[in-house]
Amino acid sequence: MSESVLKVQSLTKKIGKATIVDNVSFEIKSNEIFGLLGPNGAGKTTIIRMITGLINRTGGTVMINGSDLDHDFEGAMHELGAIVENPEFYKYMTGRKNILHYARMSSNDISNERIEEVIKLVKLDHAIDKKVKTYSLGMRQRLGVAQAILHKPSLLIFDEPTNGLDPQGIREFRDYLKVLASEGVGILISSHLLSEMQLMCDSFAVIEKGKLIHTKEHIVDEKTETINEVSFTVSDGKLAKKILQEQFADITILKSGAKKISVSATKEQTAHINRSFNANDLDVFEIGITRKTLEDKFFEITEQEMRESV
Amino acid sequence: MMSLVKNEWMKIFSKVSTYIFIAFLLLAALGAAVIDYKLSPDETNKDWKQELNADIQEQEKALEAKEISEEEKAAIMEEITYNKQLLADNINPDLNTNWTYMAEWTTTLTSFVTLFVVIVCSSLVSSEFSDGTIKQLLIRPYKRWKILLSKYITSLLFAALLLASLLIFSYLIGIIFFGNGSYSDKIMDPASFEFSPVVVGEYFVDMIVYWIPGFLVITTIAFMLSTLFKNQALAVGISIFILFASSTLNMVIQSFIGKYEWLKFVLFPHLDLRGYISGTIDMFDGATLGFSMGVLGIYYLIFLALTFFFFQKKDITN
Repeated sequence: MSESVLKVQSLTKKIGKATIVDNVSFEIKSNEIFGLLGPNGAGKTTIIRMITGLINRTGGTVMINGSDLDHDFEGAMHELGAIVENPEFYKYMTGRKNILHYARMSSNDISNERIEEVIKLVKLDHAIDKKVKTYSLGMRQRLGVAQAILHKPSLLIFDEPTNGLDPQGIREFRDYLKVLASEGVGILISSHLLSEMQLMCDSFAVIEKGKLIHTKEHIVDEKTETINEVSFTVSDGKLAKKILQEQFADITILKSGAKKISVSATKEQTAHINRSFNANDLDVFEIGITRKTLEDKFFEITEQEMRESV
Repeated sequence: MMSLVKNEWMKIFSKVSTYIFIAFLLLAALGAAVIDYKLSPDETNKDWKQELNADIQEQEKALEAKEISEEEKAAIMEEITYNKQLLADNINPDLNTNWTYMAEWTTTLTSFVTLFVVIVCSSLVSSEFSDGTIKQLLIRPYKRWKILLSKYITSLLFAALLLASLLIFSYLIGIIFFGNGSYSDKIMDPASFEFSPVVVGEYFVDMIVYWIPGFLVITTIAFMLSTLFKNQALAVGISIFILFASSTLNMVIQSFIGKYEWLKFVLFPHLDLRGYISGTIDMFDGATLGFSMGVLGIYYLIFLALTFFFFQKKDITN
């Protein structure tokens, strides 16, 4: 069991009468990439700013790698690396001076070798002595990653990290995350770009109107994964339907035609169905699988929530 | 804390404007020296006592002329008394050394030091908000007040640096232009309307020392505005406005101070303590150096408390 690097409990933020964040709790373990999903204005940024101590909490506790934000702010911050929204730097200084600036603010000594190592890791060695105002957004994002990982924190937080990045930049960023997570870091990412999050995250939480409405669904879990739609292209659609109704009463038939039939099934069920089709001398020409995307899941969850609240 | 101050210092000196400010002080000191040099009489090696005596004789002759009015007479009489006083006190009116140059010019050029320090200090925190870097700055293992304190220390160090630059530039330029004069030469107090001889070096030192408390308070006000406003331009603008408006406000307050007792406790009349040096510039009835220092001290503490209180509480939302 890997240890928890972030534990958020009953996090609440009220401004006047409005409740911006309402009793949010979740946990992130090391090696985990955790996505905080939700439409713009749902409260993702407010949650991240409360975790990083940038804004005051109305209620709730935040533990970063065992250190309570209230009682040991310095200890908690030492375990944290983050880019809050856009990666902002002192544009009038070189990349190296910016990194040096944050290295000096670390509570452990950061050697020159470590600085060089990080600069190489984010592939900025060619531009590190140029002023940051000459950097592209992708380069600034990489410099942002560099300052976040410099002191080897156990928790990394990236707020809307892919905003404004080009596809190549997004891909590079995703690769960094995978490497960092494999080294034992826990990573929290917020985004409203669901397709991006699907590629990056191991698990996620959905925030809507300040409330956590769904949490910890593992995005890819081979065994229990519900495959949204499996379509069989067969020699006889009617026979296929008959077999399904007789032998797989628990499986929902979504569509059926002369040569095609589609059902909702897991991987294991798909294999069973295929076997019984073959046993009944039904030729299977093609099996098509449409995976349920995070986007579908997201809308499913939010719609369900809306129906329940009405 | 040292590393935080080092960071702030690095940021200040990564900006071109900082170097321009220092260069400007050098040029201003140089310009003042050139003007002073051009204005001073050419024949410095002449005997000034003889000249004064000749002047007095000429002025006495002018008095005897028939076609002068009463006012002209009075003016000439005054000049004669002044010149006689110079002779009696053994004060050379044409004295031009590095010390007279500094007493006359450097004490005025300190306004530029105030201006530049206000510009830099009022953007010290607000620029972090404007650039969005405040978010990256405050998620470090330092409590907020420590980060703010490091910035305040930096602003004081920067103020000290600019003042020191001006003093060193003036001293060196003074020596180059006017030679190394004596610290203890006597001059007539330039700020006084009466004939009060003062030692030039002491006068200069007093002018700087009495100026520092007000300067410190103004620096602190600029720093406070820098933390209160998220907009750098606004923070700098308001600080400079206060700087320029303070002398006007002071005059307004001075004229009403007889009517309203509480105006005594307003900051502005106390910002410039240099009036206390010769004691001839009337602050207002009952004003003493101790009272003014007390008022300044209380304002200083209030400004610092407000600065730290609001910064500690602030939600960083930009």
